[in-house]
Amino acid sequence: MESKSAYGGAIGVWTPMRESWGSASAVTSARPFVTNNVIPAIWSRIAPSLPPSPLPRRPRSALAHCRASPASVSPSARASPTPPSPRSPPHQHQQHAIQQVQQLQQQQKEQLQAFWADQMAEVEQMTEFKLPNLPLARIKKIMKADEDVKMIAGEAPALFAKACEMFILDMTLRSWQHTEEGRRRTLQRSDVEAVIKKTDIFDFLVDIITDDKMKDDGMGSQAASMVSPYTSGGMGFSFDLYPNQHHLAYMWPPQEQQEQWPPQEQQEQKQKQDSDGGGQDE
Amino acid sequence: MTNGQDNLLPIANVGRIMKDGLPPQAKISKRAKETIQECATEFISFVTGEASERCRRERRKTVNGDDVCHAMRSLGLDHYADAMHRYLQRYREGEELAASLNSSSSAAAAAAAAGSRGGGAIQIDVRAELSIFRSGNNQGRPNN
Repeated sequence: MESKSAYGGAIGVWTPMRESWGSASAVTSARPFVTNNVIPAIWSRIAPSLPPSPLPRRPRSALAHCRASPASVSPSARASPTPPSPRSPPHQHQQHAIQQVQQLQQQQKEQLQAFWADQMAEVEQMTEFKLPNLPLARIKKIMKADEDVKMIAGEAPALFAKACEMFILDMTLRSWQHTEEGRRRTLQRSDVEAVIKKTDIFDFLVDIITDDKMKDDGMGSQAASMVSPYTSGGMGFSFDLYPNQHHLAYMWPPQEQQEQWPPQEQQEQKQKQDSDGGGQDE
Repeated sequence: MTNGQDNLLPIANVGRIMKDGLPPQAKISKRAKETIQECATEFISFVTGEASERCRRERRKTVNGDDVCHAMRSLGLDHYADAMHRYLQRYREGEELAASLNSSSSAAAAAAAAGSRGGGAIQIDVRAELSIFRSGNNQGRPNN
């Protein structure tokens, strides 16, 4: 206050300020007002500009590649939208459809995660005397088909026997997911083809489905030769060479779409088609 | 590759594995089984080719389990590489256990041949060290 009175003493210097403020009392309160107002303004500017500390993210391209695969699922899922009902507004219907697609993708992703968790658990619990599900001699022969392969260690065919079992289960599970999207109960070749097309890690199989389509023209002799063993076997693979096969069981979540399953008449029609055509009609 | 059924995995085994992976009420068409059969066979050839290429670069003649695991990793099959890496460790543990059992039983049978069995023990140790060395090299960060 004393300093202020000292400033007040120099009336000549503060004359224009007095005139601008309009009153002597304003001059006294104007100074503390200004000094108090400046600091909060500065702090208010600094506070929101402070950036929040970002969580450390792992820049792994492999993870990004893996995570990108669910995105590729959405085009095929959206390719089969539910026919719009005239009652509900299109906007609400679209949102409902999007939610259904997202739920379906989440379920499929969880199924695959559960599958791989089961596989790792099985590897940990395996016994050394377990017989392989696939013949090692045949695997070795397939490996030898590559001319560059000279010698094969004993562990390599055993490794492939397990890897192929996982591969077959992986492909079958993904194909079955596509079967369920179509509300069917029979896994068809087209389901396998759809999985190969939409899964990046299975790009090396694209030639197989292309070549097979070309082979379809000249399958007369092969079909004739293939019919007899199936007829004699009665379509039942009773040949049980590996009795110690491990049986895998999965917890299948209840599918909402199963409630909309077609009536029994259509099922009977499908069964008739399967028995007649043997699954040849796609 | 299209030499007939002899160069494919048996379709009966493939069909059985497929049934294990599906719910009981599911049905599988014959052509789907044939397609998976061809895909699994191609899977072996594809990974073997990559493993063989690695052997050629390192001037080795024998394709071993590490080459197979490394090939799967290189080809983007991360889940398979992780599972097979662990499977290979378990497989080698089993082999070493069987070898040590044979060695101990042989040593108990004949005392005069203990010297040569000791040589076998030394070989076992060498293999164990080699296995640890290889597993150490390939132990990278697992990608889930």
